[in-house]
Amino acid sequence: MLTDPAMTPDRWQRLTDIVNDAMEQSAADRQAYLVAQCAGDSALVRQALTLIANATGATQFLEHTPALLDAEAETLIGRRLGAYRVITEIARGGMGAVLKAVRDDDVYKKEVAIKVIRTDVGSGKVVERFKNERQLLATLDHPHIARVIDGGTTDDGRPYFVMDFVDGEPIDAYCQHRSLNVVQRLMLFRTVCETVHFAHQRLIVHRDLKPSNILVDQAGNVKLLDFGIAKLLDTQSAPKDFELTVALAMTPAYASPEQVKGETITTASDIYALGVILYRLLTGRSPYQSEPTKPLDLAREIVETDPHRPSTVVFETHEGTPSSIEPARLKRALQGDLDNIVMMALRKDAARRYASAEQLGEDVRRYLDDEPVLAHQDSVFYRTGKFVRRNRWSSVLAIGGSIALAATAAVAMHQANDARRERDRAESHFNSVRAIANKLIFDVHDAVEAVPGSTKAREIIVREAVTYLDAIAAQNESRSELVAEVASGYERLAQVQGGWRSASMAKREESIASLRKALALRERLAQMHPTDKLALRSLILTLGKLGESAGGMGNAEEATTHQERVLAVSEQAMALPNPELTDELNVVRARFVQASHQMRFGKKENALPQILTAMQDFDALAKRDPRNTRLQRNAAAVMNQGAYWLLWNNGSIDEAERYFQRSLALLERSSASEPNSPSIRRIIAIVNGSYAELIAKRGALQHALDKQIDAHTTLTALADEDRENIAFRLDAWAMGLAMTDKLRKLNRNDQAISLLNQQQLEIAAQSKRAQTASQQPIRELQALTAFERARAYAQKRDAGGEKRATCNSAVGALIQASEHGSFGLTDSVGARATKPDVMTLVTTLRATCPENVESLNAIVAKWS
Amino acid sequence: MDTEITLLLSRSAQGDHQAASALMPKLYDELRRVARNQLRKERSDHTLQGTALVNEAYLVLSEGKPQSWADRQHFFRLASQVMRHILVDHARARAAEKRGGDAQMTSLDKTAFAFADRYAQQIYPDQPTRESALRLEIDFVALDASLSALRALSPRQAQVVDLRFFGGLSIEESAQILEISPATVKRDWTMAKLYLKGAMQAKGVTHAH
Repeated sequence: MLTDPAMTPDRWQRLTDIVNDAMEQSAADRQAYLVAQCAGDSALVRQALTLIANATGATQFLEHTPALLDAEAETLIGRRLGAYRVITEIARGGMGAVLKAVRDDDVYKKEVAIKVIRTDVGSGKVVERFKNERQLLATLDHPHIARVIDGGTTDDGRPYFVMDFVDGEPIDAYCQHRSLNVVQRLMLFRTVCETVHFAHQRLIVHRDLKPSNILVDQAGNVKLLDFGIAKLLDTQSAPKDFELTVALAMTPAYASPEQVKGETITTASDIYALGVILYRLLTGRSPYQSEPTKPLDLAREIVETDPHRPSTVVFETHEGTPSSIEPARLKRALQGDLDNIVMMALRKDAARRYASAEQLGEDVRRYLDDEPVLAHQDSVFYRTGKFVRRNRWSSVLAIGGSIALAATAAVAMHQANDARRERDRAESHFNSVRAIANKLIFDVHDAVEAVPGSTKAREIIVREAVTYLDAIAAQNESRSELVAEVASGYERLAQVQGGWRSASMAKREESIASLRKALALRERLAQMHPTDKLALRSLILTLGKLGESAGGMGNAEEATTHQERVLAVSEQAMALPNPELTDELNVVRARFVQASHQMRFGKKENALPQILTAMQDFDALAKRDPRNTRLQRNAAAVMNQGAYWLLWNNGSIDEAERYFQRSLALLERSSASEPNSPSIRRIIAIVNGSYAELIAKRGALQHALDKQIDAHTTLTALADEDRENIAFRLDAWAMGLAMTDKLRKLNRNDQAISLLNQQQLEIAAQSKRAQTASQQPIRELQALTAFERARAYAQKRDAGGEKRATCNSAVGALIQASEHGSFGLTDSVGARATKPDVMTLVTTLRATCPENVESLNAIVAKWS
Repeated sequence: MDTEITLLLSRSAQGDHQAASALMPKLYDELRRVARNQLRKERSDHTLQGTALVNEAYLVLSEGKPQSWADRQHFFRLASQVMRHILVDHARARAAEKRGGDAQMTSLDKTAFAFADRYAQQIYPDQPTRESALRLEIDFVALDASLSALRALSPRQAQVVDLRFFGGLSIEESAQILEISPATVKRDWTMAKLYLKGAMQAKGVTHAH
């Protein structure tokens, strides 16, 4: 417009009038109006239209004046606060400014952050309170928590806190800038949950969790800021409108319903805030519809309206979402479990959220590990019924309402606080004992875990603490959350004792005994709350663990009992109103596990039809919800396993082939939506490897080998990408065995031997590094690899290999195999060393290697 | 009102440019002092909205005594301009700092930083302050340049922006100061916003509203 030479002040005034008048016309009439007004001056029409077009979406433009009186106008930069010299301002929030400072008298010039509290938010009393709480805050010594180092008052009476300086960016901005995917975001979020839980166990509630209090540094380390600060600002000695002021200073966008209503703030409030944060990390937006600039609307929405499920809002989102994921794909990833996890944290009724931040984190872990999650959709009753009606807006403090009303409400709130405090005091002793026990179980245990040889100590710590907790729970039998805590404690103890894979037999028994105790409690909870899905799902998980342990110990009878119970409880959960897919899945899975168990320990011919039925059920479920990628993956895995059993138990080869193909088809669909997902790449490789066994059975050995080489390549790449995850490496080795089996059958013995030798070295190296939990499967693979080597050498000898050396190698490998593990092993991909297999090999070697007969006899003797 | 300021105000109201430029830094100090005093005062009426700083400053400076109309008008015009300078200079200084220039922040910068952040929070309440402040630094410089261009076309419209946006005055208050009807202020304000938005977008600054 400025480039228009004809534009003069007069012409501009005319344009001003025309534009203003035209904007009063309806959009449809506007053009005609302009043409008429501009009397043939087409340039003027164009200019007016350009200007009017700028009005679109500009309602807020320049409407917020920067010149409002700001109480913070004064600056502290360059001045000293206590032992610190202020360097610069870092940020400014509702509670006040955050400054960066260095310790003036310190040779190391340690950098700190200083938070100066606004005078209307906190008085000098805040510092007094800080001094009282200092010891409690000192217990927050945690790598992911920024410590509060000191507190004081500025010259003009503003309280301040000195904290660790963290050079990072808010977690949401970090995720966005680094374009993190869903899994990476969830992993960061888990760390946040664990950290919050750590503080909760020390009876410290954050009260103001939000992305700007959760920073992530360049190296990806999470640091939580301001722990314990909000509490210092909120107390009885405050002026009467104080809580209101604090409430306003807090960030309403992350506040829980109880915070908005001025009710007691508990750990559940932090869990709610975590829910809001997770919502934001997954969808890039707030769970609320209200504009953040309208606190009244927002407060009301927080109390009254359920947010939309995350998966339903991704199409409205533009930025901040997990990157490189198109909305349709993201929607599918969120649908189901992640939706449920977020919505459970965001429940209006604090008692119906996750019981702890750890539980929330654990559910996220379960999602990541493809285990069934605890979260489920809240019942319709709770969503729209009694709870919301009971908590209508009319009973709620109207934040932002008239000041007089707010002051009256604040007095009422204050009085209510007195009564509450009395009750709180009675509970506090009880709570601290409970906190100590929990601390021992979870934190002290974790702290000493890294100390070599600490297993015994860890076990004692956890066992003592659980006993204590158990005693408390015994006196408070009606307190479900306490009973659930004890159950979790026993589950942890079982884990410390090593589960059924633990090295010593005695320990395995103890581990199972702990699980049984957990089970008794879970059963009681389920009995107390027969319609509580969470209780039922927790029971299912414990039963599942116990069933697996018993099965692993070879205690088929006990395993059967638990599996039957899993099925019964799953059916019970399924019979509750509003069954979800997860509940159906639990039922079908229970049937499948039962049949698999039969397959291993019972009559195979009886089990096979059940396996087939379970596979069909899974297939039907998968068809019902084709967008649920985790379900598709689960179904694919089950069909693969079933097809494999069909193949090796004289089932129909054609039928097995149909299931392999169906399994692959399901996986390909999953893979299309998450092409780089390691877990999908892994299952596809495994299914292809199993399918190759079928192909080999039909005689196409070369084709089978090619397929298994491909699968082996993929699995090896996955193991290299994630060296921490031993499961990938185990898969790669198992596929290696299947592959060398084909090589041997094709009489390419030298190739097989060279591959197996290499693998044997890899396993030996890994075995030295591996943790106890993965020792057992490593030993099994070590044995199987050695056995395969023995076979390959034996065959080479048959085919005319150098007699003496080959015989020695074959027998040597067989001795190795017998040292590494008992025979009778079958690996999931096809490496087998069953008794007949071993006997066949021994017979062959006896005939071809007469010099080694003595060694062979020794092996057989040792084995039987 | 402080005699020196009153005198300078009267003289600049009569067209003395030297008096006006001598008055600017004093007004700046006054605005800051008012802000600080207000901060210290125990205020019983907690309002959710802040008060326009220039209004508060005027009330304090005049100590309730009636001032001549011309002085009053002049005070608001100048005070709004001072506010604009504070914000724009600050934005420039920060931009220079980022380019590796002189990182020396004047006390004016620091105060302006506080204003800028406060403003940023109102516009981008959901965003981390630092980031939004950075976006605004660009905006303030761009806004100042666009405003100069508008001043050439319509000095009155530019003044409306000074008073409304930088001075924080209402339509009615601005109308009084400029001695025109509120309807005209409204029309000028609408036109100025349309123009500025277009001009700032053309400079490649996206204003996310």
